[in-house]
Amino acid sequence: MMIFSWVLTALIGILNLTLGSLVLIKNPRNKVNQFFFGMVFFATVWMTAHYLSDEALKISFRSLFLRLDFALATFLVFFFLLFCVTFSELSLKKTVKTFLAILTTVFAIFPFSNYLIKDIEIADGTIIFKTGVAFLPYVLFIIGSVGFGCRAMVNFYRKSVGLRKDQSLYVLTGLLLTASIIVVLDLFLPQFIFIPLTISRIAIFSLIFFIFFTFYAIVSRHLFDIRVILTEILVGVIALILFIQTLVADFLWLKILNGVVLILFCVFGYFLIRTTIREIELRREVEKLSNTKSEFLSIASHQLRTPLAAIKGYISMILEGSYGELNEKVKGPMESVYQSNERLIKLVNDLLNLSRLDAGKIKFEPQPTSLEEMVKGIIEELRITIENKGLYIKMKEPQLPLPEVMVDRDHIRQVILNILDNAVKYTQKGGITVELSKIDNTEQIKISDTGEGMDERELAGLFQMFSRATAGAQFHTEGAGIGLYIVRKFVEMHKGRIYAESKGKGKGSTFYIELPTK
Amino acid sequence: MAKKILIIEDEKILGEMYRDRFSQAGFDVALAVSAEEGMEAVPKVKPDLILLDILLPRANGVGFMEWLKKQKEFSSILVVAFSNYDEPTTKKEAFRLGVKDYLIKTNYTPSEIVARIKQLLSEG
Repeated sequence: MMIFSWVLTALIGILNLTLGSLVLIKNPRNKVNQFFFGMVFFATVWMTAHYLSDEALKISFRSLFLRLDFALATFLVFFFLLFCVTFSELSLKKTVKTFLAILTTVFAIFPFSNYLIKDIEIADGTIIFKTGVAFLPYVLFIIGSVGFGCRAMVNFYRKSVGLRKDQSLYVLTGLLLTASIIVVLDLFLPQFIFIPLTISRIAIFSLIFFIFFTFYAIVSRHLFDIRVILTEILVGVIALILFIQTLVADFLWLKILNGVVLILFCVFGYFLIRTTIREIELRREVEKLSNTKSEFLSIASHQLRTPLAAIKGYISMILEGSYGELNEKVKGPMESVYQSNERLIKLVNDLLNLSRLDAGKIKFEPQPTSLEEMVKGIIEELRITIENKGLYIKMKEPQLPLPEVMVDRDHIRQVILNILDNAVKYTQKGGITVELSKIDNTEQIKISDTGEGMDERELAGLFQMFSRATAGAQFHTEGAGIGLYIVRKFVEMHKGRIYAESKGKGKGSTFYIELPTK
Repeated sequence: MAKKILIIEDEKILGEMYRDRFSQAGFDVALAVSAEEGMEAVPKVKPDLILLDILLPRANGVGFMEWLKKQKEFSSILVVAFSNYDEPTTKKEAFRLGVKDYLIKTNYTPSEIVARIKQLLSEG
C-alpha cells in the first residue's frame, strides 16, 4: 500500500508539473497560462507536503510538513482563483489583487503558529491536531476563494459558446471534483470524525480528476493549443521505455522482438505526430478563413447600412409629407420602395447576426424579464401593420401572472418578433393568437396563425439554415431562410426549445418557444 | 425657446437628412462632421442634447465621449449614440461612458428618432 501510494503520488506530481510546464512554455506571457502554472505548481508542492505529513518518520518532520501543507494550500487557492477569473475573461482590480495577495500571505503564516494548529499527535498512523482560533477564518478564506473561482467559471460557461464553452466545461468539471474532494476530506470531515489515512489520501489522489479533464480538454478541445507537444512527449516517453526494454531484455530473441516493436512504434509515432501537426494546420486555416468570412460579412453589413438608412429616412420623410404633399399615384410605389428597403435591412441584420454566431461573438447577457410584458409590447408595435392587412391579433393571458425569467432581452425580443412577423407575412386571412403559459419549469409562448400552414417536409427543415417553407416562396420571396436558423440558435443559447406544428397546407401553423424558468 | 441639438455625423447625406427633420420638428440644429469638429462646436453651441455617430474618422464617438466626460461644464449634456455599428463591446463602452441610448440608424425613421429625443429631453 505504501509503495502504491508513493508511486501514485509521484506520478500525479510529475504529470501535474509536466502539464503546467508545457502550458507555460507554450505562451509564457499569457496570464491564463501563468496562473495555470502557478496553480499546478502549488498543487504539486502542497500534495508533496500533505504526503510527507503522513509518511515522514519523525513526528517533528511530520508536524513541519503538516504546517507547510496548510501554508501551501493558501497559495494554491490564490492561484486557483486568479486562474478561474482570468480564464473566465474577467479582470480583478489591482487593489483587489494586492488585498488577496496580502490575505494569502497572512493565512500562509498562521499555520506556523498555535493560532491555527496546536497539540499535534499521531493516532493510528494518522496525524491529528487541535484547531486554534484562526482556523475558522482560514477555512472561510479557502472556501470563499474556491467558491468565487468556481462561480466565475460557471458564469463563463453559461455565457460562452462553441469551443470555449466545451473547454470551460471540462476544466470546471475537473476543478470542481478535485476541489470538493479536498475541501470535504481535508478541511470539513476531520473536524467531526476521525479520517483514516487510506481515506484522507484520496484528497491527494483527487488531483487526477483535474489532470484527466484538463488533458481531455487539451486533446479534444484544443485547450492551450499544446496538442502537438503533448503527442511528441507521449511518443518520446513510450519510445524511451521500449528502448530500455530492448537493452535490458534477457534473451536475444526478446531483444530482436523488442527492437522490431520499437522500430514499428517509431514509424507509427512519426506518422501520428505528422498527422496531428497537419490536422492543427488545417484547423487554423479553416479558422482563419472563417474569421475572414465573418469579418467581411460584418464590415460589408455595416457599410450597407449607411445607404439603407438614407433610403429609409428620405422615403419615410417623403411619405410623411416632409417635402410637400405627395401625389397619390406616387405614394403606392414609394411605399413599395420603403418595404423593399425594409427587407434589405432585415437581410443585412440577419447576415450580421449570422457572422457573429459564426465567430462566437454573440454576447449572452441574461436579465430578469417578464415575457408577458415583452410579448404585449411587441404586439402593440405590430398592431397597426397587422390590422392594416385586415388580420386580427389576440393575446390569451395566463391565469396567474408568470414569474420573470432570466433571458437576454435583445435576443428573445428578436425571436418573438421574428415568429410574429412571419405569422403576419404568411397569413392572408384570419389572424394570430398568442398564448403564454407555465409548464413545469418552462415558460411557453405559443403563436398560432390561420395562415398557409406547412407539410411535414417543410416542418422538418424549418429551423435549418437557408430553408424556407413553400408558403414563403408562394407569397413572399424576400426571406433568405436565415431568420429561423438564428432564432433557433438564440433560443438554444437559453437552453430553451423552439418548434412548430401544422396540420398541413391551408390549416395554419403553431410555433412554440419554450424557455426554462431557472 | 427651441431646444438646441448638435448632430455629429460624418456621412453628409445622413447628417443633412437628420438636420432637416429636426429643424422641421422645431429644434435649433448644429451639424458637425467629425469628433474634432464636435469638440469645437460644444462650447459654442452649448447644446441640450448631442446625437453622436460612433464610427467617425480619427477620434471616433467613444473618443468624443471620453473627451466630453472630462469637460466639467458640459459633461452633463445628454448624449444619444446613433450608429450603424452595433458591436456589443462598443455599445457597452458607450453606455459606460454615459450615453442615454444607442440607436441603430436603420431601425428608426428620422421621425422616430425625433420622437425618442423629445421623450429623453422631457425626462430631463
